[in-house]
Amino acid sequence: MVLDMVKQMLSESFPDENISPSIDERNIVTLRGECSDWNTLIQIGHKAAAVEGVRNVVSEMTAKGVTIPRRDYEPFRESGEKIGVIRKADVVIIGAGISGCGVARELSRYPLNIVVVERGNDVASGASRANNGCIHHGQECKSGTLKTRLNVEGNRGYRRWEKELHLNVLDCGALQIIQEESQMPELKKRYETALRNDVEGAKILTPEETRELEPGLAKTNVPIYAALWLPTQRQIEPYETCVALAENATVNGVEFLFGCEVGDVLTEDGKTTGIVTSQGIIQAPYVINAAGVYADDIAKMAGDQFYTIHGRKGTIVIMDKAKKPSYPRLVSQLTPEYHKGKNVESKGGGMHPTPHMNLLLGPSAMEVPDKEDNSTTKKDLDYTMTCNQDPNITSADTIRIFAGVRPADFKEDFIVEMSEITEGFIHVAAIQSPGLASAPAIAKRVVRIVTDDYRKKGKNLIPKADFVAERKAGVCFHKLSHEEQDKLIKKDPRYGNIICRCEQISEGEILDAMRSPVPPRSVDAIKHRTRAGMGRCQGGFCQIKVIELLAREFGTEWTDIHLRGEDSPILLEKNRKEAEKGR
Amino acid sequence: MEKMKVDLAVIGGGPAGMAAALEAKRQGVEKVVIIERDKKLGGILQQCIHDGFGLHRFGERLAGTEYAQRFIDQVKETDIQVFLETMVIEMTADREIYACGKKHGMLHISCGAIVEAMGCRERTASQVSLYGKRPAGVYTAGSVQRFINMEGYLPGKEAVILGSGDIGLIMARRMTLEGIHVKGVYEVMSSPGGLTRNIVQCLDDYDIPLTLSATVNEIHGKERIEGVTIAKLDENRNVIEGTEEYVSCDLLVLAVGLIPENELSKGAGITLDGKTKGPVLDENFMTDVPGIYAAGNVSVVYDLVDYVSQSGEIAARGAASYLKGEGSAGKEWNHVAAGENVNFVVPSKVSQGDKEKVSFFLRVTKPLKKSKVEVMQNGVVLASKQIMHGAPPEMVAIDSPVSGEGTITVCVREV
Amino acid sequence: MAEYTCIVCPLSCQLAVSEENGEVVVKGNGCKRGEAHGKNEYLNPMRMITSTVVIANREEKRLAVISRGEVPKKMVPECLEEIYRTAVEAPVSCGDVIIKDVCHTGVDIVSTVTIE
Repeated sequence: MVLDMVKQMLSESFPDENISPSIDERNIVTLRGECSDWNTLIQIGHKAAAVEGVRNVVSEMTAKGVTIPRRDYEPFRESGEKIGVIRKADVVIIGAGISGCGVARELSRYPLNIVVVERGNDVASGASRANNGCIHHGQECKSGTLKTRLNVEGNRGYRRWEKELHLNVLDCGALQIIQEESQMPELKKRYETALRNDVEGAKILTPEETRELEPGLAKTNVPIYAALWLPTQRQIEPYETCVALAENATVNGVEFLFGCEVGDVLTEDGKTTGIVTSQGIIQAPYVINAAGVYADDIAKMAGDQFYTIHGRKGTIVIMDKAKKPSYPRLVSQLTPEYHKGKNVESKGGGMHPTPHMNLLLGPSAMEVPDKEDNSTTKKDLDYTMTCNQDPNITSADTIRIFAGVRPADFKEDFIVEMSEITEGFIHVAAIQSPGLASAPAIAKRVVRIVTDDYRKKGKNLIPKADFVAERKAGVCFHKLSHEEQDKLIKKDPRYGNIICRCEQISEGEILDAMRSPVPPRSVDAIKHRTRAGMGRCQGGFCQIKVIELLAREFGTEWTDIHLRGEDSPILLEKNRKEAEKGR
Repeated sequence: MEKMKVDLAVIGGGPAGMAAALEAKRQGVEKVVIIERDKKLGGILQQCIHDGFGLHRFGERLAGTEYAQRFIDQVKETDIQVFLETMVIEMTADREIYACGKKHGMLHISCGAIVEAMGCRERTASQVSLYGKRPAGVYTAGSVQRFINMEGYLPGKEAVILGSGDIGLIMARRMTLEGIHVKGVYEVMSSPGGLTRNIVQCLDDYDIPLTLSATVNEIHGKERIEGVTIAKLDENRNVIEGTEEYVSCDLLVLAVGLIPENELSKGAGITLDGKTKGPVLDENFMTDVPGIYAAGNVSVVYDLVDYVSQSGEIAARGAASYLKGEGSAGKEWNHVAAGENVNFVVPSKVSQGDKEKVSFFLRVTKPLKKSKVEVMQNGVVLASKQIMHGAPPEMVAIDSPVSGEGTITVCVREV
Repeated sequence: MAEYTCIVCPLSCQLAVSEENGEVVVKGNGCKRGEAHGKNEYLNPMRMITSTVVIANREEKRLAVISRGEVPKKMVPECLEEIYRTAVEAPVSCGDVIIKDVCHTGVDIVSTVTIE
């Protein structure tokens, strides 16, 4: 029945494409065949997923002239099996992005032995690192979806995370401005969606109220007819959030294994028993799949792939904080042109102030066949630049351009559930935007799945009495008063040694980071924890000093210090080896 | 917090800062301090081991390090107080400085006058819109210079250089001599960014090809750079389709321009010039905040260190007269205009009244043959000099007497 | 015949140097100094050397050195090899001889920095 509808839709919408769909008893549609190009392949998936009754779509299609890279997990499996069992845990989490870190931290409230495996050399190595840091209000999601529910719940959940983990937060709220009366129906529709989605505090404002709330608007003479005010919108630093969660989880007993690739998911009689990784076998009755763009591959290993993840690239531009954003609130002008060119399935980004008051533009949204294609292109960058509505900031203020890939499925909703096929295997998949905003709610939902399952088995999980909820934030030298700075330096002179001149980051802060519960090992990891190298010179002056500190702290050669992973050395070799040897 | 009062604080101990501090002493300024963030004086010259410095000032071809050492030695013979490993983190318009360092904690220095001499920084990959990946192995020329000359490390084996400014050319030779294969230098503009003698001595001598009107269009390599796509550009600097070419390399060196480092100036509310990216200056190199002066590459990016030192001395003389209650503060200004073939002139204003000698520094807009440089006011030529040749990378200096009221125009005309 | 860009002044004359009847002839030069430069480049090109040597007993890792005068261009690689083999100890003053008469060129390699 459902398959017939899918077939009919395909022949009507894509008469020239060669597609053969099939369906299983759970109404999961699998698409095969070759279509004309990558965007068509994505459209076919979306259309099939939208047919009534279809649970989700697995696409095994190819596109003419497009190479779709596939990962080979066999070497990791072989390596892990050779090594044998290295850990016996209660829960193993795959992926240390925002979802994995959030789940790890919330589960660490319970007396469980938890291991997180991450293929990168640090937390937030995938989609979480290239993110615009929005804690979305939840007005812009489709009502009634899991995504919307988790977004709005997650937004509330952050209040506690912000406090307990001492996160840098910009409590900016969001103002959506219209310029003429004709746009009023659209604004009202948005307002109603906000109410339906249970977004707190939504309100339509007069021009006067709007200007009062954001005085920057008066200075820039933006025409205002009315505005929708969504006060719960906030901005955080995504990397800092992952680090804070991971550090707190570590303090509460969670173990993180970095550079750890998953080769297989072990199952026995319909139950998962653990995973095989490049570093050995980790036994666990619960496996949480928070593997980002590769969640579909991991699900397949567990015998339950009912979705395909496709990569949606987003390019982000960061501006020099010497040019303060004109609007400290999140301001968007809803002109019809503004929404042209946006990917309909994903809320592309706009113009955001960050907690450190850099202006951030983007991300854009572009479908890419290679899930690791984080390259920037002129087209993508040009689009991202159009997000800039700040009259005082131009492309000349750019200090950093980067891109990341969001993990999206064809339903374009989140998947957070226990597998119906493999007991103990929990999907946390297709967590694209607003995944960061939803993280506290996603974590809570996973905790409930685990504790409910324990209960079903007759065990009651009770939170640990010695759980440490607070994670103290490190010293932030540049935010202190000069008196406080003086005292700090007198106590420890290393805070007086400024390593990164652009962001004014001291040696003391970098040492603090290196001695933290989840120590950074690379120059980028230092940058993301301390902001050293994040400023306008992009490490031109301080990178060498960071290399020196890392080498000194970890007792390695300078040539062993990498930008990111283990294949990214910064310096290749010493010169004058002969003369040095003679000494 | 330790508090101190000084007559003149010089921020930065490079060639501009040292020249300023020394000149201030010669002018009789009593308490002069230099605040330097590095472990030693010398600034960027510490890593400029190549020769060609000081031809104007000393009539010798010195290494950059040698040029700096001459000033360091002179500073040592004075009572100039030098704070090393001390970084100014705030400067206010009423000339209060906050500087931190391991030894002193936070210093609060009240200054009679200040000379800013913080130098410049290099433009980065993001600032010139290099597309593609962001692997290790993409560095600015200055970083590579430091890696090799001071730290003794080689950051690659096969290099591509983007930008034909002098630092890019100098590094092409340095890397070649250190055994790094330099595959080519690519320049976005249709003419070289550096001095001809550097092209001859650094590229031609080692058969390193220079390609004009070309850019690195894409960077390849996920973790470490594996290659770049080079593309030719049309006259509007757009990529000409079909000219893309892959060049393998494990090092991309960027020599794509310098930006005066004026974050402290911005903090003090000093007005910056859109063209030079340095403060708007008068004939004494005073900014629009009275008592705060700028010298060297923080005021405008110079091509020759001799000019950098000279600008330090001008600023110091200005600061000395300011301390005596003389100087240009509070005076009416004559605007200085960039005339024919002139991109910009520093200073951009001159205080009214008779002056025996004002030094003007300018850059021309395009390559010129034998030309006449003229300083004019109210239709009268105040000074002129002949140059055999003009090119945008080469700064032109001309001294002129100035008196009266009215816009001063500096122009360069082929003869 | 050989071609050079003259670097005596910024005019950058294109010099064409050839031998005619056993005599070296420079064409394209705008001045006398250009002619001399062309002849030198053709007959016996000379170059300055700037490089670094290892410094062993200080926080600084490399000492910048310069040749006190030019050496024949063809000798540069050999001279560099000797420089690359050299290590010194502080204190060293700017102008101190680091390598005497490098590769029998008659030219000394000297320090360009003072390290106390």
